[in-house]
Amino acid sequence: MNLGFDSIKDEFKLESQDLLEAMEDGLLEAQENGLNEELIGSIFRAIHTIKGSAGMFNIMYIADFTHVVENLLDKIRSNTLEINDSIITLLLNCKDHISNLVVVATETNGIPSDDDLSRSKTLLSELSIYLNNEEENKEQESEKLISEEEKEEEVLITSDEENKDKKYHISLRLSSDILESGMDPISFLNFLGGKGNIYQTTTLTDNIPDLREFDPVEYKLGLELDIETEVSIEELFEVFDFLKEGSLIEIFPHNASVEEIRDWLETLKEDSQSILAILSLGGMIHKNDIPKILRLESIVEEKKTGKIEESVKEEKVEESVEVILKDESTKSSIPTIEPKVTYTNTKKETPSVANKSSSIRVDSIKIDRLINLIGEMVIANANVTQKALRQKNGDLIESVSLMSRMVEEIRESAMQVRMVQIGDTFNRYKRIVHDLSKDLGKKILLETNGGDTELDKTIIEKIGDPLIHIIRNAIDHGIETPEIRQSLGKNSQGTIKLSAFHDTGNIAIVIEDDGSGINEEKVLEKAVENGIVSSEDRLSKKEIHNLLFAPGFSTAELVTNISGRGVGMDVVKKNIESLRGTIDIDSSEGKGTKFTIRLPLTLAIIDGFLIRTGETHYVIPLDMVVECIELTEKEREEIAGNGFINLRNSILPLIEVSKFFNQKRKVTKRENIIVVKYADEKIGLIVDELLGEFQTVIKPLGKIFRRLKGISGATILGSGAVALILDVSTLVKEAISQEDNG
Amino acid sequence: MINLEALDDRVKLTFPNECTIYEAAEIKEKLIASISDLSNEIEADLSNIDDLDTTGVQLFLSLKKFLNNEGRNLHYTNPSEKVKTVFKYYNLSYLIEEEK
Repeated sequence: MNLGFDSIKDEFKLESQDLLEAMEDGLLEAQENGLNEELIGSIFRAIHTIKGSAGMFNIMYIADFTHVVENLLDKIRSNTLEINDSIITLLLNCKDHISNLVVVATETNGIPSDDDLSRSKTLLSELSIYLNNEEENKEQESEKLISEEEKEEEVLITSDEENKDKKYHISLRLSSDILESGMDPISFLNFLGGKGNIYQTTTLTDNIPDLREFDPVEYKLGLELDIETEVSIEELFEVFDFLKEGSLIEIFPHNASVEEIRDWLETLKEDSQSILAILSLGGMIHKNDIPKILRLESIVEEKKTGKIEESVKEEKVEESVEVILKDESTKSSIPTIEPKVTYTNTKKETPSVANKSSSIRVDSIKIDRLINLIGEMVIANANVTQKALRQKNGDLIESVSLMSRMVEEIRESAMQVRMVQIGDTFNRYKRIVHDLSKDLGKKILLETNGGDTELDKTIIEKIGDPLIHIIRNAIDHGIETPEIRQSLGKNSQGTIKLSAFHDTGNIAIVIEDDGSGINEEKVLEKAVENGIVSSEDRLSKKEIHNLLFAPGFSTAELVTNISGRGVGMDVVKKNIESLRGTIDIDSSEGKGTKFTIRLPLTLAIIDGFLIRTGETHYVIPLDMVVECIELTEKEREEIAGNGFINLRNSILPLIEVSKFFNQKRKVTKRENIIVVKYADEKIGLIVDELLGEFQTVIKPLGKIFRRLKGISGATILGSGAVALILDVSTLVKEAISQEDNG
Repeated sequence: MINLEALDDRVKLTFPNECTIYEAAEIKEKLIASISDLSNEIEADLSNIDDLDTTGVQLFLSLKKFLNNEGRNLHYTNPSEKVKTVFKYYNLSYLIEEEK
């Protein structure tokens, strides 16, 4: 019976994945810094919640498996088992397997393959090593359960004070559309029954309509339950985690104070007397206490109204309670619940949900669509602005400029939505480092910095693979084995540092290891061997390093299954360039290697700086613009032979944009230099006119223009004309190499 | 589908095999169409039911309410195992008479 599973499949999958990731993070953290209570708590909760959800939807192959994992975690939590590296590895494998099973349950037909099952079996037998007598315990447990059931009635009678903390009263007013969403409260009752002994159930049927008004999809029943259980109140709340909004769920321990009960009754706005009668049925309160609780209430009411004398009111209340209790003894359902139930979602108040940050999941397609529309709006707005300016209508210009400002703000907040912290991506690499270093017998620590740096989601998704590749290389080729490191006087544990930070309109991601560094001779030798360069070429250090990015290059003497098959660094470079980013390498032999990846903040809309030279408009990403200066006659002469000027006592290489793109143009009277900066290098671009800030919607250029150097995209101006977006990184490189050669 | 049988002192309704959210609308229409000119004593036989969900339970409650409001009597009888299980969850078993 997979009641209602289809409708929340996706949610189950996403939640499970989040939990499993949390579990993995926790395990890796435990390995790095040792285990603490908080960590094991979060790992335990993750597995526990998955078990709960799986159990509720009757996905037994997940529930059973996670149950055993949970047992092991419980042992660790209660300090009866000490965690070690092999247990962590086993648990990581279990995590992978559960993740796999979740996919089976949600994406395929829900039937695990033989492979999956045998994998379960293998892992279970590995787990059982640490659990030794677990099976026996389980049997005993179930025996205990049976005998408890037999004692059920006895327990009811002997409900004395010390047992009260194990009993809870659960009050459910589930959302009336719960049936429509494919769930059946019976499955909740069934699942709850598995958590403990529901020894008292009262179904409130008063909201059930006459047959003529009966609607098959409307849920009208109220439930008041008393459960005796060993699980915590949080765990009871978790049972209802999947309920949609609009459900009212209250759980009270039986020893809740009179005030608590009274407060709850007030929020219910239901007939307090009948609810109290139900509470007394479950033994939560004694029926003699009902007048006491109600008297408290009547005092409150009295203060409000100030009309009725206390003693009179008291008598009345006692009478009415008597009546109801008599009713009860005939074992009918409670007939007097007023249909005044306010359906509000109280999930926020449940402890298990309280600490989750408030965020919503949105399909990224929707966001992409929004960004696209905003892009079109930006263009349309530019068009309106231009027309307004042409008409020289002051009022209109004012209105348009206000609108432009709003558009800009909308654009910024929409782009913000796409921004994601890179930290989650970093955390995933911990696992890779853990697994690989283990395989290779190396000791490696992954240090991460700047995980809160935000980057466009698309970029984060696409940067994942290149990063993995670089990290693998660092583990495989970079970091030496502990023995070698010790003989070199290094710490036997290698370190890989992964950091992210903002850098002039870009994000820089740095991967740094303290391994053997790049052996330049060997690289050169290999490059000559592969015919990438000739032996006569004299290459700078940087050029040698860049040979690593040449297609078909590999220095690994031993081709391992991890890296070194000669496909890789060139692909890494290509991927990064396709994101309009760059990658740099810096290495000193024996000390380590450092890769610096620079990426644009976003791919869709940027703040640009519009310039014109000849008839063509160009856009430079505004963040890269450092300053604008006038090109004087004197400087013009200076350039003539050199291609650079002296800017405040430092050399500024120049590129004449019109020349660079072979544009024909008349020399104008006044020219300007716009100084741009990329990766710590500054160059000047000579242009005719500076037109100022411009919101730029980046449109990719077609395939034909792929090889076009110095242009990274295009945009549409208000006039409908096309402006080209300059690829500053290429221009900077070009200018620097010109300078080197000159 | 739902079956009606006139006996000497009462009318016997027999519910179909499935009384779930999928059949409830149809059952409701059938009941409304046929029940107004029936006797004041009605017995509803639940022995055939092998699929019952919360909607079914609500339907039974709604039918009972409807008839009781008109001053007529409805007895649910001969519950199948499935009916017993489901009613037990809601602790509504007192609504059903085991034998009649």
